Amino acid sequence: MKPLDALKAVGNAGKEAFVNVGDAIANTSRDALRAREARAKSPAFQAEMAQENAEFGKVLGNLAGNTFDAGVGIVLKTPYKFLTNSLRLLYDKKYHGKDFGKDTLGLFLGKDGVAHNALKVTANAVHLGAKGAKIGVRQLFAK
Amino acid sequence: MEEIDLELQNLINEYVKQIEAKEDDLVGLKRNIDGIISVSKQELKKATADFDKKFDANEISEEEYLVKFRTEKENILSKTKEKLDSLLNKYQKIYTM
Repeated sequence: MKPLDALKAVGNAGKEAFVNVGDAIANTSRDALRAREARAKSPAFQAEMAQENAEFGKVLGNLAGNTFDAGVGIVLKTPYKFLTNSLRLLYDKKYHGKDFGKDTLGLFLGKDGVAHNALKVTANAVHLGAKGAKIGVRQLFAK
Repeated sequence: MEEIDLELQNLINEYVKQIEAKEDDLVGLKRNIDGIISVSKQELKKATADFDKKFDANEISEEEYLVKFRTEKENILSKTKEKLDSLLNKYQKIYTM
């Protein structure tokens, strides 16, 4: 064999080997992909997991909210009692009558009264406020 | 009426002062709760990553994955509730002393 032919033969062999390696890599990748696809999660499973995750978030949110509300009640119990008791005393002392007291006390102590709202708004302010920020509760009572 | 208005205003001022004195406690409470919730989320995320790994390695099926996930989720929620209850108890103790 002539040197040139020998060189060509070597070149061809190299080329063939290179193509074979390429094919092998492609096949292996294809197999790996097929295997991965076979392990892909089914739509039903994905839907189930989405539901599980959503439920987890919701329960965590409820736990956090309930704990915070209960905590606000504990922390602000003393000021709240102070306000309600003082208001009762104030109106008893000044008006002796129940009707005025009833209506006016309702404004403060009723379900939507100032005192109740103050607790609710204070709690919400902490919920929404930036970490470490002051609540600015005084503004709630701005004249 | 003016007299009562003044008394009311003083009362409200005092009430606000008392609430303001507790602001740091409320912010602290919120931070503690957020911290507990964040840890719980991280725990489930970590567990999910572990289940994904096992699933990809063909070690568990979808059914097994779901069972494991639900069990872990319940454990984490139960632990979270315990931590939050314990936090509330601490506040309760402080404020009823």
